[in-house]
Amino acid sequence: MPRWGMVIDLLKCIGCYGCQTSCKAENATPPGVTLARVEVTEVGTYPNVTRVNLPLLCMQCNNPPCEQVCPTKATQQREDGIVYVDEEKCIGCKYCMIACPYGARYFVEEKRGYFGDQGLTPYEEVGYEEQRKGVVLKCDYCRHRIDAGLAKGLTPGVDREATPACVINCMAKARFFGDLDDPNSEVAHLVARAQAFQLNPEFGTNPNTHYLPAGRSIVSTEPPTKPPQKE
Amino acid sequence: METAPQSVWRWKIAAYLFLAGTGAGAVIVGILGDFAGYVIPAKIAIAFGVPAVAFSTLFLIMDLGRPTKFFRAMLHPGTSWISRGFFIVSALIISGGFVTILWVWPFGSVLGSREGVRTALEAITFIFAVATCIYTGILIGIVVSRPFWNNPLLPVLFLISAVSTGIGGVFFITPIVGSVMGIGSSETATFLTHLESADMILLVFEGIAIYLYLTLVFDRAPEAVGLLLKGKLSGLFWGGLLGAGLLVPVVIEFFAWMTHEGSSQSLAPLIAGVFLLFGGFLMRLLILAAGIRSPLNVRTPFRVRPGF
Amino acid sequence: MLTVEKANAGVPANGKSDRWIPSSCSLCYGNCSILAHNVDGVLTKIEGNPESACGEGRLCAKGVSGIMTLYDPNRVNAPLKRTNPKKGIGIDPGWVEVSWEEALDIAVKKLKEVYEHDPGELFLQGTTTCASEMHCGLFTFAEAFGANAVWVGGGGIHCGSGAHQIGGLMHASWSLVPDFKFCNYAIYFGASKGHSAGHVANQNAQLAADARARGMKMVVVDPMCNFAAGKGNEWVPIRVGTDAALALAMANVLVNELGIYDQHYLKQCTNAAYLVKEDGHYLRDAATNKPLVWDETGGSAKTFDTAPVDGMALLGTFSVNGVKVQPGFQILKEHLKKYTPEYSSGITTIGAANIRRLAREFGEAARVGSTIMIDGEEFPYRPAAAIYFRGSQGHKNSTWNCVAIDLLNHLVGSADNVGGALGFNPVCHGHPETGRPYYAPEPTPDGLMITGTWMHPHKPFPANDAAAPTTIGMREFFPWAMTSPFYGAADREKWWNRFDIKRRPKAMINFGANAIMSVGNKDVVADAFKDVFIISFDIFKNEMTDFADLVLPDTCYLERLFPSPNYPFIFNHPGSMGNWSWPIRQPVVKAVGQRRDFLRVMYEIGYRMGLLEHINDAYNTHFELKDPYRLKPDVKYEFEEIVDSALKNFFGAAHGLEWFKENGVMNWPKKAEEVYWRSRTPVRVPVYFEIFKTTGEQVREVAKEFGIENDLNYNAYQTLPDWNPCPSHECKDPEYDLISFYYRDTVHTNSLTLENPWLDEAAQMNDYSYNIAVNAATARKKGLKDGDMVWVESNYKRRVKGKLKMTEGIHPEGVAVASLAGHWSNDMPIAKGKGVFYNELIEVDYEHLDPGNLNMDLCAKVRIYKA
Repeated sequence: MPRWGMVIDLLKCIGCYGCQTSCKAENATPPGVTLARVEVTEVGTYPNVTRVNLPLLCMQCNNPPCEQVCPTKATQQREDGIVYVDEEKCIGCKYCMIACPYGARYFVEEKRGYFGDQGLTPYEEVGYEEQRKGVVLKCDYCRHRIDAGLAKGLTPGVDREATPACVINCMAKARFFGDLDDPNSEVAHLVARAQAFQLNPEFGTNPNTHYLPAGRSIVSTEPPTKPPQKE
Repeated sequence: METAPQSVWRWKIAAYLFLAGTGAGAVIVGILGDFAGYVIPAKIAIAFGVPAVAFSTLFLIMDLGRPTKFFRAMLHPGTSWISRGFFIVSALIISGGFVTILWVWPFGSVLGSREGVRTALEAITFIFAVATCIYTGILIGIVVSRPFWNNPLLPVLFLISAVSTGIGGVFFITPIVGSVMGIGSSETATFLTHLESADMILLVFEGIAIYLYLTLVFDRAPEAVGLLLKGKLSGLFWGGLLGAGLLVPVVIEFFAWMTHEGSSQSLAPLIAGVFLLFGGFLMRLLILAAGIRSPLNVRTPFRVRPGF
Repeated sequence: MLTVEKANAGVPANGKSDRWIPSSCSLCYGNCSILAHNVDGVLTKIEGNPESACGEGRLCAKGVSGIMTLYDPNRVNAPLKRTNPKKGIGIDPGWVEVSWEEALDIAVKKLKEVYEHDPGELFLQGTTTCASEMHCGLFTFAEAFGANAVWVGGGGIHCGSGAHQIGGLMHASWSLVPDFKFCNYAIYFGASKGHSAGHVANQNAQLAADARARGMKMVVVDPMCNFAAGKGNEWVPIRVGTDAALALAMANVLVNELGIYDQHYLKQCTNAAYLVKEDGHYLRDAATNKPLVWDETGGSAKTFDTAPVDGMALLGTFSVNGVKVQPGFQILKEHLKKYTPEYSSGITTIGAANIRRLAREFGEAARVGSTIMIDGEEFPYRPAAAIYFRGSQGHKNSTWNCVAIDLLNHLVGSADNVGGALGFNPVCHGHPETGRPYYAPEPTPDGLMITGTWMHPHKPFPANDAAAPTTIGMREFFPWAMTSPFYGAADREKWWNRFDIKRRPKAMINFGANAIMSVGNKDVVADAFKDVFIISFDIFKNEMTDFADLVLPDTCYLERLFPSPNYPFIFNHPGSMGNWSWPIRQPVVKAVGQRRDFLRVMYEIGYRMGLLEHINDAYNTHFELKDPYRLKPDVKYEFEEIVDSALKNFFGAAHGLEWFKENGVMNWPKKAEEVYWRSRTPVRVPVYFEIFKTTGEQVREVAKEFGIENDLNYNAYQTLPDWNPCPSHECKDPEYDLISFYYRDTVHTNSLTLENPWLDEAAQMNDYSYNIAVNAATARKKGLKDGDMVWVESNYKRRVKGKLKMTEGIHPEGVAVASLAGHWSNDMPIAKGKGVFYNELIEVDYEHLDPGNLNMDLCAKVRIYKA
């Protein structure tokens, strides 16, 4: 049984929001729901400063707090590590959102499209399924793509069709996907690198989503040798 | 930009935590009162507390995305504190319901002189009432990634506050019920006077507990404490919780205690009760709102080129 | 891999249609190749097409969000006629729906009127967002109509004239990127290529990311630590608009302090050795009129094409037939001495030691003299690149800013050599079966390079001789301008009167450009358009549409057919080694309502005006059609037939529209000599700009005729690059202490995508996108804090309001805003009120233009205060 995992190389990521929007397009998520998202911040003080782009999604924890707190067993973990929400079982208590350390879960308040009172677009009509109202949504590594791909004999992480939408769409090719338990997979090699890390391991969640650091030395300029020129 | 408060669980959950705490607190006070011999006010307290707990669950249900399927919340007691809470609160409502129905109204005669049964029922109810106060603290206290909550003192704080708001509820309800129904006025007055003194001490403890709590969590949750002390929530914290919710009732109770005024004739407990309840609600609201997630650590090594 | 074939094979048995249709994106001018998933007629997903080099299966945030632009309920669905004759900002046009027949009648009647009176009174305007269709539709119609006034919304006049002009002149291409696969040291000046949006966004993002991972050093000179600087190894904060001062100081250090320059390259590929007389002009051979060089081996002057390359003198003073001459490089070397690091430090605020270090690092990284084997052939290896773009070129000193930066590449010989600064695809030898498309740079008689292809009918070089202007854009008088901002300038009447131009714009055809927002201050631009009859092709009723007399509901890119979204390859086709890809754009859903395609409607209008012959001829030129695929003068074609002809013309009879509809994209491999063409192509580029001086002398002559000789700025007509100040540097009022500038946000294209709710959502999650970025220390000094509403007010007392974002990542004097936000149209409800309308602060007049290429200066001297 594989254990699906993702590696996001922060050195390569340019914070383009392509993962966020491609996830939206793939999963037809309603307004305010960004199962994949990007947080852009800066670190340092002028002029020793840099931007940090942090793409986030469900970390697919091996020890998922969301699954533990779910009172209805709507949140479950598959044997391949994917944590998903059975929308039929979810009652929308949002306890999982409280428990998730990564802000990876979203509550769908109402069936409302991006154009509000102007009604749903044809795309939204098709994409927003009725049972989604009042439940919590989360990233499940596009398990529909993985499962359909596997059924066709494809390899997730290698074949586009069987790979999460955000991964195949990443313009900087900063995202990698595959079986962490397969020592020959690309992700297993990347995770084996010394710099690879999980987000906040102190939470005890042991995510299957790993990161490579944006790490590089940041160089700045000194102050000017002469005061600015006066006309 | 500015730190935003926790916004997943908001006023409805705060209202639940508050009302369930208040109800459970009133039940605790009532049962203790009964054991101490203040039968009439004890009956009033229990008859107020148990329905309050039952009523509180409506807020919980209202907060659900699919309220009609609330009963599914009991399906995961192995690890989920919502499921466990479902059983604890249900048990409180059921056993407290029996106490209320069999002792207070309308089937007071059924038990007759079988006091042992009633005492046993009350003892069970007492345990579930305490459990209700504590579990609400555990419910959010187990969340590792929200360090403001993730602290063993939280259930204690919730218990103290629950008893205090329970007293507030009793303050508020007892004189009204007492005067409307014309029962037990002198007994009630003595009971309330004792409660005033007890609550005064309790509020001092609560003040100390809040201070200790903030000190204790500060290292791990500086943003959350900042949010309360000087951020978006500071007005409600200083003016609302500490001022109106703690200081005002302490002062009222202190003056009432100083003047030894007969409480049943006085408006003091009623007014103090209103402030106590307000403070109790605010505390739940503020603790919920301050429960922000720990920042994510992206390990961006940051160093300036040597020589610059 | 998901191939089109496989995807389309599986039509479900239940009779539902389920198809992946190959097409091309056009939510920006990058035009990456897409696969669109159509299920029962509804577009359910857009993905990148992995089979095309144009994106290789990836899309940016905009590309995947196209669904929400397609299905926006605020789209225009029927032709609209204005009923309120009064025009102005905020004035309701009083739209009434009309039939297409009536709309076409109105348009044809008005255009005929103008055509018969004076075709020069027609003004055509288009958006860069849909650059391919814009170039095709506007230029073919202008050609057929005889119109000479065309501008490309704001995108064009903000970034075009400097960056693309110098790209064309020096690299035979539209834009420059580092050769990411081999580059070891890239220095960016106000550019974000590979880190954000735009031309070849996806491919460059990956190439740049791979280069970072490989260890390419990236230095970003920019007032803001933004998309590129945020990924760079080093951010060099610079005072807004002073890039040339830094670049020239670096050039000075290379040439005069370190002695690092590529002599062979300068002799072979530039005019550095051309002998220049004291009057600044070339010394020419009496017999052939060719410029002369000094041949050190023979000790005599020879024409540049007969002297042995390595014998040419770069330095020294010579006497030829009694005339004192110096090689251009000698003059350049002397000229650069003024730009000591200390001097430039005062202008740029960058320390002199740092300037020296940057120059040394760049020079050493270039490995002058080294070579590398690519595909079994030896090429010069120069893994260092200096890259400019919108930031550095969007100033009054536009031309020289670009020249100064690009000069670094030519000094070390890294221009279009392996690892250096690559123009996108200046050379294409064509598909192996047909040899088409074929183009390559060619030399003028003086040996200078003419680009092999271009986006506009007129190539950037050679420039026409300056002449007295008669057109409303007055480009005859400004021969180096690629487009003219005078159409919307505050002082246009003054200039028209100066030259006694009686023509005035009477009618406008607008293809989707929102010039009210995209050019400059809205009141200035609005004033220019209020008396013009405007026929506007729009997908939304935007701020520009409010000034239209007739609105024609356009299809969006997902409902449209177009044969060449990525051709010419110099514009938006990936530049480095890999495949050539020729995708098409085709409808992926049926157009709803009464939407009609701009190109078809323009063709129809041309036909109804009786211009069929001219229109067909213009299409023959535009698509380079050769027999038997040339359009016949008297046949009215369906647009599909034109597209089919264009495709067959390039790829043979078997590869017409039907083939492309099914297969989506034609691929063939690039050859190394196409990519690294510089050392293989007998053309030279100027490092001594006699060409500008010549124009300047002509301009002065014409100006004399009109008595305005002393009213002009001749800075652009020198022979060598200088840093010249922006008006914002010359503002003396101490109250205005900051310099504002805009940048293009990574999630938005021009003003269009602000209406896309997915992109709007992303922008709202970003602290910078919709806010005003100011240095944190500067803000604190002014008593401002994060989230405050502030006014940014220019020294011309124009102001805009927005929310303050305190940041450590901006020069202390800088105020940065993401461009083209702050819509106020009620018909774009998602966009309305989002972000800050920066262009309000931009002056549109001669004083704020590069005097040579007419590029606009986009910075402003401002103060900020609490609103």
